[in-house]
Amino acid sequence: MADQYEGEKWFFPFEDDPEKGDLVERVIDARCAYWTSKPMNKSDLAAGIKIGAPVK
Amino acid sequence: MATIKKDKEAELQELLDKRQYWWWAEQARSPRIDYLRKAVWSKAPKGSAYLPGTKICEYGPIMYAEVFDTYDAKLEPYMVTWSKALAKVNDEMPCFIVDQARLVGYCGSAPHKLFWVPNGAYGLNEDFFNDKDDLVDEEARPEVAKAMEILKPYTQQALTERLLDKRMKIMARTSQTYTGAQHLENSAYCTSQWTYYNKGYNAIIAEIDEHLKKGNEVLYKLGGLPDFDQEYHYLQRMDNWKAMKTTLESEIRYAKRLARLARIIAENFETDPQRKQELMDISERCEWCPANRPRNFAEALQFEIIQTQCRKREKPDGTWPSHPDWWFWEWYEQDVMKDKTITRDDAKEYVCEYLIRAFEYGNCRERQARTLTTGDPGPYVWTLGGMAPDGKLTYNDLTNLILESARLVRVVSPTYALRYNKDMPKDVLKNAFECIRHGLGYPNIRNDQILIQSQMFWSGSPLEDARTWTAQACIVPCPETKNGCLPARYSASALLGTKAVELAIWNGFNPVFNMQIGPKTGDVSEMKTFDEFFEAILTQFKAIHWQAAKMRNIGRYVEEYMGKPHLSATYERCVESGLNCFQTREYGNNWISTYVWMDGMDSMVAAKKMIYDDKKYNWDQVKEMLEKNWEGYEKERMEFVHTPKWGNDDPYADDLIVKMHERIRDDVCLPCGDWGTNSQGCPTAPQCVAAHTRAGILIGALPNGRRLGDTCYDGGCSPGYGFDVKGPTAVLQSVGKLTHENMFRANLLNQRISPAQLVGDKGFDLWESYIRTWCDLGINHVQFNCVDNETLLAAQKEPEDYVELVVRVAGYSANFTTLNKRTQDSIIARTIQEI
Repeated sequence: MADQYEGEKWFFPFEDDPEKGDLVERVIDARCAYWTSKPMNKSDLAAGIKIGAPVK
Repeated sequence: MATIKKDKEAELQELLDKRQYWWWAEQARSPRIDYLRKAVWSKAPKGSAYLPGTKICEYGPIMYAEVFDTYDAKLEPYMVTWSKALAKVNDEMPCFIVDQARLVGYCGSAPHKLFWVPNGAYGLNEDFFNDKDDLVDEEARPEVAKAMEILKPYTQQALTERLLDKRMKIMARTSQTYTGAQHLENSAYCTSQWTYYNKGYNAIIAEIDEHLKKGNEVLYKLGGLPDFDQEYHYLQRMDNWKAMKTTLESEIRYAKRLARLARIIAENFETDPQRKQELMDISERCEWCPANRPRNFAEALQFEIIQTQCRKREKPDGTWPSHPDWWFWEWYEQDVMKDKTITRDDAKEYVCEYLIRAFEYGNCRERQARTLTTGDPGPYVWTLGGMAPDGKLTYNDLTNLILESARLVRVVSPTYALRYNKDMPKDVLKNAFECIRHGLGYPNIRNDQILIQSQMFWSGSPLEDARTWTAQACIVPCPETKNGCLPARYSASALLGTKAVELAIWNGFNPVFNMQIGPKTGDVSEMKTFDEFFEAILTQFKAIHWQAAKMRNIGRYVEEYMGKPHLSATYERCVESGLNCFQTREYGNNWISTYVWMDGMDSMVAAKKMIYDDKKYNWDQVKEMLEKNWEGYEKERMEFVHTPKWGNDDPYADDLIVKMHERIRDDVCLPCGDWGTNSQGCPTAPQCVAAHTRAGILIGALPNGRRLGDTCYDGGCSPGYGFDVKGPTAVLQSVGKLTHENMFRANLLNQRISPAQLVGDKGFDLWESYIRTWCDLGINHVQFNCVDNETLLAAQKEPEDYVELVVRVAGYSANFTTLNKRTQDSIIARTIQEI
């Protein structure tokens, strides 16, 4: 599932504070595949990070 | 379709018939469990090194340092700062969800990373940082280095070393007598009070708020009557309650972060409808738990995963106390048996996954401790069944389900301690036997009634409390009640028992390390009677045991200063009293593990026989042979090897050894002053995880025929390899001469049994009859390896074909192929008993 997303990152803003949110990433390592998220400020996002859901 | 099913069944049966249980498990489990089992990153060390690809999570030191390096941290009690550090980790460290998982939550930031608890031992921090395997990611190193510097004075090691004298510091580090100390190991033990905290954290926070409200009134209410005693009472407690609250609130937020991630995946990425629903279920469970009491079986398991993983961010437990068939029974019974909202098979899927999630965790422990549990990420010994406080034997279908799941996932941790009672249900006992027959090495069988008495003897627990015992460590039990729960074991200052015999021979001088470490008990050559030698051994043992106990008591004082916010918040009496978990001390649960012991006892017997009774040699001759490590004296060595040995029901050896145990209890353990208000003394707990291989180079040549470097005996009361020549009943007869209710806190017996002999129902009948004899003799513990040498040798040759082959080491199980060669050989060398 969703292996086409490997290595990609998305920023999902918090509902109550859009300037902050979760940076969600798809990772496939040597043993398993997983989704990970880390809270961060929108202002700290690297260039090119997509905001919100991918285009389905 | 029916034919395919039949073929599959036939294939599975064939694997069972061939006793190829690891391949059977792979075929028998569901695709989801098979994926998760193979996807999990084992944190088991091989020797002292972690397996390739394993990393240490840098967020621990970095986030802790951010909090400890503040103005507030200098003003506040340690526990308050610690709770803020934990909150930062719970709020900000990455969390993840593995594909196909239905139960989520992990201590570290990624599946291959161990969480790094950085305020334990600065020595461990430095060791991680400088590890040859690059455990710390390159880009994080500068920040981690800075964090380590900030945190060093806040580490338990630095705080403890300030209070230890030079001798203690040297002894702790050289491992000649002690195998470490808690301030170096970065590990501690606790019991869990599931029956309290399963009410949900919100309910506990409400209790804390009530206390805080009262405290605020006493301290700050305008117009309130000054009352120093009342004010003092609350001043001592307010910070503790605040720290507990901060921690619980952050753990609720951590669960909600997992809930949000599950929802994001479901709503934005997942296309499979079934998986979408599973993710939404995960989200719902994590929104609800641990904030609230679980509403169903899956929520109960999810609650406990989050509770435990968060607890391990506070401090790596040496073990993972759990009594799952008792704890989760009410939800299982409701869902599976009454409401039938899930099937038994689905419940088994959840349990299998729960075991894999537990196995995923690994202790961040120092190198020596890793060597001691080589091959195992834990160990975690979970407890099953037993006699309930009302005297009713309490086993249930969940006991069976857990054992069935264990055979499917074949993880080396958790393992199980089965509380054995002669009238326990036969189906549960058969199920336990089936696990042993599958070569898992668990459950170990514990004599419930003996251990209840032992709990009452040493800890002064009331009968009802004692009956709730759960394994707190590999073999030592502890109640799970309000007053019985305890935050820590301090056997981290364990000792090498056999060293006492070596020191008695060399007048307190340690010939391996060339140091005078023991008291001068006299030149053994001048000892005219065996009794003098016997007393010298006792004096040496006393010095070591008491020194270890003193170090441990100092360690406890430091831990009381540090506090533990999570553990305190999950103990009822801490929330009620406002004391941290180290300040409560109704029932102590103290012991010092005696790693490596029966080699020394056999040596004592050999000396009596050859020097004092038969007068074949004098001490000068024996000392010369020992000094030369028996080189050039093989014929003489064999004479010593053939002296009477423990484990053969030989009164010559057994009576002396029993007498030594009595004297150790009466002269060494009982006089020890410890902190439990109702407890007495500080007992030994002979066992040795994998210390028997590591100690081979720490203990020199001895009169039992051992040479420096030889692997020591395993277990605590196991006979030496190949020395138990009179069969399994003779082993039990010897071991049964010890009084297991009160001679030590617990003791460990390893036995190896023949898989060929134990096939079919007849095999079970034989084993059950053996266990009944074991129980009648009042022995507290026994565990089995049931794998033949042919398989073990094949696994040494082609390890890649035997990845899930499990063996019992001592106190824990391990994947055979992850053990070092020395430990593998010691298991192959064990006597296979025909019962």
